Amino acid sequence: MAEPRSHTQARDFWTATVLWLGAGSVLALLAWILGDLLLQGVGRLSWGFLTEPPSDAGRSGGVAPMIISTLWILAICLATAVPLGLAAALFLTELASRRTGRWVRHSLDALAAVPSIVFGLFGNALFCHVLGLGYSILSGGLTLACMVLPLVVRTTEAGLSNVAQEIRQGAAALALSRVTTLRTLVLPAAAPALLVGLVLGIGRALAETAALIFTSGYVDRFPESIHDSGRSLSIHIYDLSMNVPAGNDTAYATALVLVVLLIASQQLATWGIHRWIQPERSVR
Amino acid sequence: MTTQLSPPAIAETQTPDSVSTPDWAFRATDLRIAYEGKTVLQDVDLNIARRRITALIGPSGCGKTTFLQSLNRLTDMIPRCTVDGSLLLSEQVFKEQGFGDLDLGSPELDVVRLRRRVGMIFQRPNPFPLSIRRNLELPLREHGVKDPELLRRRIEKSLRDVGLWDEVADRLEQTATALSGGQQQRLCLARALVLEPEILLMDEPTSALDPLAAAVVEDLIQSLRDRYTIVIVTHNLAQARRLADDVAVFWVREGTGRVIETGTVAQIFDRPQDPDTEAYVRGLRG
Ligand SMILES: Nc1ncnc2c1ncn2[C@@H]1O[C@H](COP(=O)(O)OP(=O)(O)OP(=O)(O)O)[C@@H](O)[C@H]1O
Ligand SMILES: [Mg+2]
Repeated sequence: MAEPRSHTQARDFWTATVLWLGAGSVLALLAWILGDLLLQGVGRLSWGFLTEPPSDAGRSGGVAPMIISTLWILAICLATAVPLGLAAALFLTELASRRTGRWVRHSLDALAAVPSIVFGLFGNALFCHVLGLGYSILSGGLTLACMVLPLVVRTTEAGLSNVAQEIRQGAAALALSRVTTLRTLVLPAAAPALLVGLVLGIGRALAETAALIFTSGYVDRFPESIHDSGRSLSIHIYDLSMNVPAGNDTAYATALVLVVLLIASQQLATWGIHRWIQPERSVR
Repeated sequence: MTTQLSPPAIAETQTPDSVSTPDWAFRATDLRIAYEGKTVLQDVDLNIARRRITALIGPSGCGKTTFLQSLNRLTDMIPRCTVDGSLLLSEQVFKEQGFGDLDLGSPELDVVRLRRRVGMIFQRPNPFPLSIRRNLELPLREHGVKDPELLRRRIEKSLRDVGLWDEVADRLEQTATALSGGQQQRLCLARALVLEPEILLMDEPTSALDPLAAAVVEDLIQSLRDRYTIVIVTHNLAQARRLADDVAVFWVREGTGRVIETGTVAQIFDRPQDPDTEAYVRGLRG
């Protein structure tokens, strides 16, 4: 018996090694990116960097207006995309006929594959010109909402339709109303998927440059309202590294701020979803 | 178990009206059920007696689940599932009388009224992913029981009825999905009982459980005898024999499911008339 047993052990050992290597390289890559950002950017970082407007084309001063603009754009994007996305996902799983559902899904998948620059042009035409919103944070946020909508809808929908049919049948057999079933059983069960959609959406929105250049513009002053043009952090990074000689340090520092903002907003989303959707699930 | 020498409570297939047992819960006449236009069950003439246990037996795919789900209109949940013919629920099963029999084929049927009297247990235990207490509280609250003291009493009573109270009394706030399979199925039974129905539909309620847990659930069903009308689908012929008063045999003929024979448990198991029934109950076919 000793022979096959050690054979199995050896195989277990190698399998585990490969898995560890896989996980390890992902971690290493992440650590490298973050380390690089830290090394190159931390020198420029200071309290002033977070609270002051830029000067000398960004080579000195801070990024405060960009942080404000970015947060506004993100807020408008999510405030539009999440309710719309949730409603669309609920429509698809609860109401749509098979044919309508197929059409909506195809359209969403096509939308998800559209390059962001195209969304930029579309947003520019629709929001800036047709709707007369001009180059503004509002136009930028709404354009991003269009862009992340397919993502939010499709992940949420997958979560909703994964909710076991048995649960729905059980609820129906007890004559629970549709609203009760959705609120207490279906939505909580779909919450993890909703969260994935939201986190991916936040990531995409914060990383976006192309769609924003044409819609929210790149004015680097403090925006006075959402009708003002505002430069997002990502556009600032792009501008510093491409157009501003000796802007690299600031670009790295800005990227660092962006990453922290990304992680913070995703954490906030996680917390928010759990609070909003599972208020009555007591002990797990 | 002793066989019962009561008159056949289920009408013979050929002459549905000749044996009109006064006390029936469901009465199906010329029932036909189709999925996406394809008939899976037809010519069903069946009376299900009140306060007795009726077993639906037959090979896989002959429409037992389909029929059972038409009894509480769960077929509504399946897109493109159509039910034709007549299916009545006797007014006797309602607490308040005088509204007449409930026509389950009517598009205006009040399914809430129906499903409060007709509970259902599924093959796979399906507790909600909520706490044990919330599993029972949810249907009660939905149907108007709001008083905390009353809620507490009815929850305790239904848990006692299924012998679960002593096992879970100190962990009502824990999630129900952490219970064992047998406990989950008993919780599902408690969840159905908490609404005080008169009829219980059970679709292979013990087939997903280990033998010991299955025996516990089966004993529980025995304990409900005489107080409830129970319709149970089972592939376990020994179980059908132990539990049932009446038996309906489903079979696929000419491509669609039909009820080929009905009778008391003694008639079906000891003196089957149909050759397919005979082969099936002897374990030779199906
Ligand atoms: N949702 C559905 N859509 C289309 N056809 C279905 C659907 N559900 C069941 N059927 C078909 O209807 C027929 C009867 O199915 P049903 O589940 O009622 O059989 P059953 O007697 O309960 O079988 P089993 O003993 O395996 O549970 C089968 O041929 C099945 O393939
Ligand atoms: Mg079945």
